[in-house]
Amino acid sequence: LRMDGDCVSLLPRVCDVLAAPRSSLPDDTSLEKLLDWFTTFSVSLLEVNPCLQGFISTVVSSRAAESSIISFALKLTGLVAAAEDGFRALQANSVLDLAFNPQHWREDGLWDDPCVRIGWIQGFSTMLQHRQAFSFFVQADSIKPLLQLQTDTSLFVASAASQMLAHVLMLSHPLLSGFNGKEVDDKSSSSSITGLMQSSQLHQSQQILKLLALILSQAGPSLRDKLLLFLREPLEELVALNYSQLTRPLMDVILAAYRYRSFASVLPVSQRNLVLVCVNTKQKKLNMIKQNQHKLHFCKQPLFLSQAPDCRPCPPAVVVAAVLALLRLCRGLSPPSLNGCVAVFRNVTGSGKVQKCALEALSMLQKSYQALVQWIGVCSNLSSITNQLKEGKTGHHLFPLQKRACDMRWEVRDSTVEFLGHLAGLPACRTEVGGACNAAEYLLGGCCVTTPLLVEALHDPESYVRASAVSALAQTMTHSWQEGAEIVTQLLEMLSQDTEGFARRAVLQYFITWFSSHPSCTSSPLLMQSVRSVLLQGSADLDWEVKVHTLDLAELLMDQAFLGQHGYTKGLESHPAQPHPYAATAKQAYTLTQRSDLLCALDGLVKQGLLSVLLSGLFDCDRPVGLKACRLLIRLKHVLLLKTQDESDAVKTDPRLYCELLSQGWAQEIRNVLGTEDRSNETDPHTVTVNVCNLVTSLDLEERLDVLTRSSDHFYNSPRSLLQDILTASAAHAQQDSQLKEEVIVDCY
Amino acid sequence: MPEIKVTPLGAGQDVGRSCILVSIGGKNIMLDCGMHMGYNDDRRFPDFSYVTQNGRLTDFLDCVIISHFHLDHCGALPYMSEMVGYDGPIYMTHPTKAICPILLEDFRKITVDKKGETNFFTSQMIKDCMKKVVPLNLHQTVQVDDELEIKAYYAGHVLGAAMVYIKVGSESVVYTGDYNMTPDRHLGAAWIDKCRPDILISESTYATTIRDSKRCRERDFLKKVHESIERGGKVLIPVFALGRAQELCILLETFWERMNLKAPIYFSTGMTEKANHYYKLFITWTNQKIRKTFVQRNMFEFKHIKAFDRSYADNPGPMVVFATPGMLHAGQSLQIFKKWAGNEKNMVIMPGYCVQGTIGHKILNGQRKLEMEGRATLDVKLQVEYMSFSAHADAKGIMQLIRMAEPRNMLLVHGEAAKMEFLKGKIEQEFSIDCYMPANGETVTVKTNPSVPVDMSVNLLKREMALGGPLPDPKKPRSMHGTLIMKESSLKLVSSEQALKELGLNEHQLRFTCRVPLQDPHSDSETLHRIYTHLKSLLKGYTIQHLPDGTVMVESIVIKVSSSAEDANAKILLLSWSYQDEDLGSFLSSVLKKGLPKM
Repeated sequence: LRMDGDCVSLLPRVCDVLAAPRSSLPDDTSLEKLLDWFTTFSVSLLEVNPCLQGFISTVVSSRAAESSIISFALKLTGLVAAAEDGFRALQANSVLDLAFNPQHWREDGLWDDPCVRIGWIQGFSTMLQHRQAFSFFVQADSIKPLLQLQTDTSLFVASAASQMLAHVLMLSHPLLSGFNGKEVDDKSSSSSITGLMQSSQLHQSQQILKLLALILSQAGPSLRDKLLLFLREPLEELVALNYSQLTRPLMDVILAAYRYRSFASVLPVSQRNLVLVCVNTKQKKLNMIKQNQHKLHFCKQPLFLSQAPDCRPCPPAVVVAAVLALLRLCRGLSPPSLNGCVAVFRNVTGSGKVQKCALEALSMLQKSYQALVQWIGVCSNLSSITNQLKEGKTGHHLFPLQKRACDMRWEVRDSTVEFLGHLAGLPACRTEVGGACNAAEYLLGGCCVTTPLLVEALHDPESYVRASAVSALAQTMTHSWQEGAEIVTQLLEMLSQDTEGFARRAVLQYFITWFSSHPSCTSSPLLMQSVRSVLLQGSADLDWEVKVHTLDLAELLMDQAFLGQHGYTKGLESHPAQPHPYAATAKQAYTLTQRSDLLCALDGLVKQGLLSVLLSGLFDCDRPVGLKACRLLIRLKHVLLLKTQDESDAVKTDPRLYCELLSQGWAQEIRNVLGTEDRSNETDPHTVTVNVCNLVTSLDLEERLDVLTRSSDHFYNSPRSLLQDILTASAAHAQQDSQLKEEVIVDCY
Repeated sequence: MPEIKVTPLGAGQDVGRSCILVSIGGKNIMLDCGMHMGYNDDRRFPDFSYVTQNGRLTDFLDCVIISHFHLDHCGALPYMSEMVGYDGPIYMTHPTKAICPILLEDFRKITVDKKGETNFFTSQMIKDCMKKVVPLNLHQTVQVDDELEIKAYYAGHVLGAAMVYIKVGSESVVYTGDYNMTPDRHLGAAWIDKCRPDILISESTYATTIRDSKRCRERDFLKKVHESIERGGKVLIPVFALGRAQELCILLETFWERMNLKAPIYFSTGMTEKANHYYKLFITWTNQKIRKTFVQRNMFEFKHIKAFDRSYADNPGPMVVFATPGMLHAGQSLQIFKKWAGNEKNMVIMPGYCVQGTIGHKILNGQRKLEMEGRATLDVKLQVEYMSFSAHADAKGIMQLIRMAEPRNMLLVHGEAAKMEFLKGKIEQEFSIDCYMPANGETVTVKTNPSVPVDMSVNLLKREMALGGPLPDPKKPRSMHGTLIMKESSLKLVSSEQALKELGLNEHQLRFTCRVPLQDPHSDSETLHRIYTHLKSLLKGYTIQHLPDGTVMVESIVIKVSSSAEDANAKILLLSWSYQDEDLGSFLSSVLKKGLPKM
């Protein structure tokens, strides 16, 4: 990437402004954004713009620069010197000696400002990309200040310093860095870390484990394997010590190493031991809630689920048991057995703390629901769950749905309704007798219980619950859409009446699910009747997501009408796929090539209100709406034009190719774009009739698409705009009444 | 020595976003969880990895408290709870819990509008996050766990804004969030008990300003709008969905009514109804006047303000439009701005701060040519006005709050370093307390002097009661004598006899003696008698005896007289007393040091 011409000319002026003593910046994010921009260049920064070198040396040697500017200059120095030519250029001017010498900053008391220390660390770390930079680090004895910074008073500084230390340790390892051993400290990092690991002090072990986790997550395979080989024993010793304070950092080390396949072969046994130790030690604790949440946390990790069953850190049955135990706990029941923890459970259930903390229980309830649904999803056999249910002799009572669905708290009602939806959405599961069944039916007793509950929830006072109820109904009705006439009436009412966007969005989703699950919607008169009013109301909605969903529905409608038409492409590509000249064309693509078919389809769509939806969307002020509408219109245009370009005038004047535009709102805007050359309607002077083909060609859709595809603020968030803003702000700062200026800066939202 | 630690992750010497960690009595609390509007990536959120290094947030934090619904105070919450992972309790007031998701949705819309926004939360995440919120009532003490309790106080600023009092044992902290010490058109002024916290963490946005009265700014605003309307111009006011917009609506509505103006006022996309709903729902959180007026008519049901349709922007003639979003980022406000910018009769009023990267920021800095699509430029000819209506306490207000709460230490956040420095000086001078202003990432440690609860034996209490005096009153501390026994980490105050008995120890008598030189030209016995008469007249109600063995006794205190061999007038008085009468003994010695009255 190279810098564009405007930026090349603006940058030196910006550098002057920034280097000017006591210059003040309007926005604290501007400097960060400048650095972001600098990091995007693939060529050396000095090549990009030589003025940066002058800026750095001015600031570094200035006695009056603001600490934020110094910090910026230090980070920039690192970026420049990360390239070898930049490094040489800066070193030739002794800028590096000055910039990265903490003593230089201490003299003016600037080192006390944490942002200068951060600048030093980040600049230095960035620079350490090549051998010369590393030699510079060694020769300047920078390890001393770096070690001091490990215990800095500022959290930010200490953390950045420990990152840098990990980076330095990795560089000092000849295998990894490729640096010559002469320049590198005698001890290789792995042996030094191994030595550190053997230190018996708990606090130190914690620090080292943190550092190790950091290194493992960054190291390449060779260093990582070597480290793990060295560290196997000390790590296992630490595991055996069973210090609760070390559990967390040890887990982090394992997770860091576990990301790579090699770990499984190096440390499978100790790793599994460790996890079990972690789980078991926690089981001993009284605080079962937290412990079980840990397990849930664990079993929800994608990593865990993707593993083969025998590699999973704990047997599935343990996890299922934990989840079910939690559900029992939420129900207020004592679980029958879980490694002899009955007494503990009784204590926990009986403790006022648990009862008072309804929220925690709620959070557990939700998590348990989620975890259960996930398990049923991946579980090959439901019997592992039902066996446990039987063990508890509580069976279906584990889900006191009616009670939960009318809980005082909307949070509980919503989680329950969501759970019902998720359960209904699961594919069929195998049961213990080998047959397939629906999980919802199996666990809850099927639709006869759930649907009435969900219909009831459509009238919930909380919009979140109403929305969840609509989504859950969409899952539940998958096989019985036609039976939902009453539901449809209610949903249409919601779409026009509900004051909250969530519920209305869910209604749109309901119809989208219905439409997509139906191979041919003409077979469902109920659906076809509803679609027109959904489109009409949805496109006039105030919520942008309702409008986008309306366009999604419109897209399905178009797919159904045009799929198979030459020139029509399904999917979200912005440009229709041009068929490859040698591509074999499926016969079926031409099954609907009759002109009359196309006009018929178009006529049907116009009657459904599709065109109004697309056109009003095109002029919407929310970009995602405009973008979606524009893409759909382009698809429409391609299918129409390909079909009509070779046809006779008779076709072009076919009445089915015309639509009416009113004189308000978006239609007025379209009339402005078109000029009103099209036929005026004789009966109504406010309405204009336009040819759809003319319309879609005159709207300049491709150019519009180009604009809409970009971010709505792409001009104002560009580097050029940033540079201009810095310049204008400094000019304004110099001119404006300082009192006013002050107010503009401090007044926050 | 017990201590309280405060570490800002945000709002330390800046106004970007608030996120402050407090460790008190072994509990860790996060105060506010704000978002920085100036970034489009993860930097907009506080870096939570600093909180725990590698551990889970839920294990470390005992609770999160959100002061109000502004995004720089709550915007990172769904990110923290749903993406980083925090399952613990989150506390906020009822109105904040209701309004927070609206603002979060509002901002999510802006981020979708901009491309290149990464790692932003979804509607589902906002909802799941809200499920973890425990709502607070004002002045209601909420027990987070056995030891940690919190209590919310009214803060003004915006609907539902609260200050929180946090207490663990006898240590306490107050966090103000953003607050306002003067009532405005729709909200009251902040108020707090004289709770004497160990630390008062206060915002300091207007640390050095004594703000002119809000009335002046309102008059100025109305004048500008009126002038623009009179000359046939259109006025655009970009706002965020809820908050300041409602205040300005009330202002315009009343003005229109009074001046009998006819130009239409519009409010974009359904926000009026929603705002209406919430202000109605939480009417107790508004100020006295609105509550009173509400009985006659709803202040938020506007006669002159109508819902906006996008086609109205092209209508001829004057009008006022409130449109979202507030910084002219995108969407409706930006669309209207582009339409109206070319006409010098029109005006845009920015009622709040705008971040870099928005058109709002550019025009406030005075840029008059804006780049548009297709190499076009937009000439900004319309009038650009900035009017601050934000409701923060000014320097006077902050001092007033300190007087109210009487903190032992002060800590400033949410302000600029230079201004904080000035205010810090003022506070330290006026109140003689320490004032801190940590930068982000820096920790302030304040040593506390907590009182230690002690069980007291009934016998000791009975004895105290027997001596008369007022009944025990928890608000009036008084000193008591006894022996403190520490047993299995519990403390007990008992009478010395009981202590001896419990510990199986023998009693030893300890007496204090003291020599007081005195010039008195009399014989020793006469001097002793003079002492007797003097004390008799001085100490009414005490048992004073002149004993035949040549001593005077006041309670247990024994006084003897001897004279020196060289000078018969130079007497030495010997005083001796048991530890129970230590106060009286010291008193007598000081009395006698002053000499005896002349005959």
